[in-house]
Amino acid sequence: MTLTAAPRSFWNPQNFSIDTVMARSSWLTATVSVTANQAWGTANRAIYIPIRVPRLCTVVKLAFGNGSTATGNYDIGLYNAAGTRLVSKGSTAKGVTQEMTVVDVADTTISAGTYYLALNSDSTTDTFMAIPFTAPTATARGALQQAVGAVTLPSTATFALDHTLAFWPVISALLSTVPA
Amino acid sequence: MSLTRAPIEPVPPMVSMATASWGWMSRLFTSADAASTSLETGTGRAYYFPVSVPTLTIVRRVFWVNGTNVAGGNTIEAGVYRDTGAGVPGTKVISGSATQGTASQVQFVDVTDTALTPGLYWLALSASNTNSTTLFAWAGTFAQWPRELIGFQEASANPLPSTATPAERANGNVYWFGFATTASP
Repeated sequence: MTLTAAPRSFWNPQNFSIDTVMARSSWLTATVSVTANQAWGTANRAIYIPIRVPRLCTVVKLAFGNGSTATGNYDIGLYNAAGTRLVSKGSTAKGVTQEMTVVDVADTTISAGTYYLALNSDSTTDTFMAIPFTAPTATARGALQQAVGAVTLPSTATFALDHTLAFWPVISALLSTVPA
Repeated sequence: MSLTRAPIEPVPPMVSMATASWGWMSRLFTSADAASTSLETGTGRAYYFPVSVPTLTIVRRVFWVNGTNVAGGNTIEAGVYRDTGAGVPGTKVISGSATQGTASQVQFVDVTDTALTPGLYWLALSASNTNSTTLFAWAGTFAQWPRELIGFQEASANPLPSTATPAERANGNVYWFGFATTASP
């Protein structure tokens, strides 16, 4: 008998999303609380959060936890571990409804590995859903950042450390539910 | 029978006791975050905490998370030890040391790139002195746990020995240090 595709229910259930907080897709291990309105703090500072992708999948949408303050634009994207942008939304006006803001992106298939979900804002006061961490523990957990100089995420990230970073944004990648 | 889609375990950029599925910090611990904590009394005490390495992993740097009082200017050394096979640390695989930095930051030390095959390993840390030397750590409820769950210690182990002589922990602090699988930033 030859199997060319692992039985899904037997081997590894298909995720419907990958995000920066939940088990199976993040490396966080503490019991954490989430704040609904974390001010971005530094304009045009992209934050990159590592995520674990255990199997081949297709990203069809990106999402982030939206706070209630909105004066500027945001951008959201997915990067590989080398810092290459795989897909992003582009500069978009931020809304004020406290919800998971879901945006459509070009379907992007990624293999198993380590990736980074990225979020940027051109406003210091716009708010997002995030986990507050005592600095520098967000950095100790793997968070990276970049002073981009603009809200549009770069095609190639220049990863840098920010030991004063005190939060971990909630960002998600929604996956195709069609069995591969 | 051939299977072409076996799941793999991605390698995190930072490996410590706080790394899910690698470190042994439990989600049951109520403390959501670590805090700046003095090293325990006992100059040169080494701390050994277990980590599970599920896939081939390259150690490129070691790191520790400096606390708010780092005026001591002492030498910190962090490293990785093999397990003896009996659930205790054995021989040292790699380590790196530096004078503790002057800010509450994650401090990295470059080491020779070293491959770890899947298995149980032990993160190790030691300091030349404990005066004005703080790291981020989890504490408190750990005193309720069996000592073996939170690692071992060794007296007068600075610099870190080539072979560990582990003893039961006398304190519940779990300090935040480990290794990085990235060369930068």
